[in-house]
Amino acid sequence: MKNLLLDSRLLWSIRDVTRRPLEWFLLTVSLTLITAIPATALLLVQGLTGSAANILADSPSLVIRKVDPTGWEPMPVEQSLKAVGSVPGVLRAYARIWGVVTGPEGPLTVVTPIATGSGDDSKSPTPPQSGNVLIGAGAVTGSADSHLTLSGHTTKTFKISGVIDPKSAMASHDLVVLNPLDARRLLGLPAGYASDIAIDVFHEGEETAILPDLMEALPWPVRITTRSENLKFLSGSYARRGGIIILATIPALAAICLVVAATVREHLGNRFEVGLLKAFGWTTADIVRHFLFRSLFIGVPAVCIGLVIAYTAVFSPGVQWPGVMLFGWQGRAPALQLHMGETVLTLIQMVALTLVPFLIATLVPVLKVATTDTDTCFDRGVL
Amino acid sequence: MSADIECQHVSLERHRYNRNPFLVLNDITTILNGSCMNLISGPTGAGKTSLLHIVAGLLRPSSGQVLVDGQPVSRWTAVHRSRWRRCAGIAFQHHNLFDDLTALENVMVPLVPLSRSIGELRRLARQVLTELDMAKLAGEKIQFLSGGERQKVNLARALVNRPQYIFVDEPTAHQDNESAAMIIQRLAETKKEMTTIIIVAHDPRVEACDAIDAHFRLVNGRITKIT
Repeated sequence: MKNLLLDSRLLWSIRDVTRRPLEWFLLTVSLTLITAIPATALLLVQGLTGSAANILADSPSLVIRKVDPTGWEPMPVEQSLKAVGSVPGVLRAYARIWGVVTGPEGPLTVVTPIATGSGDDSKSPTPPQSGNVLIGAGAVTGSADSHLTLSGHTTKTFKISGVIDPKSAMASHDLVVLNPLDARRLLGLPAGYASDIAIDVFHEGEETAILPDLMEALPWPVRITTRSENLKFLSGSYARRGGIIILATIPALAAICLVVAATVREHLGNRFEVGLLKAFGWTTADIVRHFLFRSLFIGVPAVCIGLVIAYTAVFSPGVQWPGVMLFGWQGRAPALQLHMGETVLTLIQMVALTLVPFLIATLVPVLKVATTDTDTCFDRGVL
Repeated sequence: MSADIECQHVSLERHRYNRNPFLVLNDITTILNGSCMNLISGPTGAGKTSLLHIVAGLLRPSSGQVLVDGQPVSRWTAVHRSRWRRCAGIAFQHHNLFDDLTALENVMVPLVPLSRSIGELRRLARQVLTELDMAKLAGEKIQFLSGGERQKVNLARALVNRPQYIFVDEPTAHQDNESAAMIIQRLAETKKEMTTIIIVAHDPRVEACDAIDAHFRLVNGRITKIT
């Protein structure tokens, strides 16, 4: 089998590109940037949405909160669990304690894994010991001090016993996990009361089906949020943010139009050179193949570099700008999670957006020139 | 053995500066002998280059036709004529070399579509350059070569794929006597390979060459066979 890499036509095309190194360099840089900017936006939206979906997949099917005209109120745990436990379709119900307190660098969300409930409790994580906290990446103060002072109903200093798994950073970025007793004191929750009741159901479709029964079972006004509602809310929120970024990529799209226009003009201006090649026995197929190889040699590395830059900007650990830009997070931004299928789709989208127009802009004018007579390629009298 | 090239009532009309059209070539009917060295001479502006380009398949005549081995090459489509030119080599009057390539790379241009290894292409190109005493300058870019050296590269490019037909425009221009003699000698050697050579020149050194088999004179768009 003939080695393609040693094929004279391919090598000649590469040599042809290097004839004008500055043009090659500028075109590569342009295509790289044109690819990197929209790809970053697309990957970021996918990363955010995908990560949120992952987190919500592990969240309760339904969350019930007691409401009054001024907002929400603590729920009596025993009475609430008894009421929701009587509703057919409820697989597991448990009370949760959470709220917003003030940390050293701003508001933090305090939560506690509570094992008070009905059904299987194996999903409840072990709470930290009293006086200790587990913190999300965004709650790390940066100082060497391993203590955290929180102010709510009371003010108390806790010992930091660990940092939450970075895989859930999208949800746990500003979280502080407390022992239930500490949380109650800090949030001012009386004993026997919880912030809300979380419910798991067997089938996703049952989420909405049991809503009327739950409303009826509880003797006070409640607001019930389903997992699918949360997912829609988060997806919509990220899509809006992503939409703003994608709007910012309009200059990149304008740039690809300019590159395409310049490429078309360049190749129409190559009439004389194409005419010479035809004079030396190059057929239309030879000429088209030559310019295709030439464009691929410029376009493929540029698009690949652009995609690597975009991937690194979004998924690389330690990259802070998405969190700072989109959520106002300070310090370490949460790591996003990659979905292989969606990333492949993004790659295809970017190839369609940049490489394909570039190749078309090369091949169409070349094909037009290559199929004309040699004498029309030459300015008369030049020969 | 390569076939005759027959011009049948070939005329070429041109427009100059929006004035009335004028005939560059006027009803030329002649046969350029196959496997021979044919010289077309004539004064400047007589239409020698235009005729050479028509028989080489680069230009289409305004009327008439060119037959090669009985085939009307001048009427073929652009695609078919490109394919036919694979068996032809051409050296242009104004060289038309790629300035940003080396002499060796310029000579390799006609070989590239043959899809051989790059090493073989380099070997063939270097061999022809050596025959024209240009081996030392093979790696030099065209922009650094003199007019005479460029003309040799131009000729080497026409010879490199061992074509059946060679069309050469003013091969001895810018050449001293020694180089001119070497070029004529090289073309004469090519003729031994049963190649049809068409030379356009108004250089007496070419006209005096013994290797010329047929001499045509082109004046005011009309051709006359001298020998």
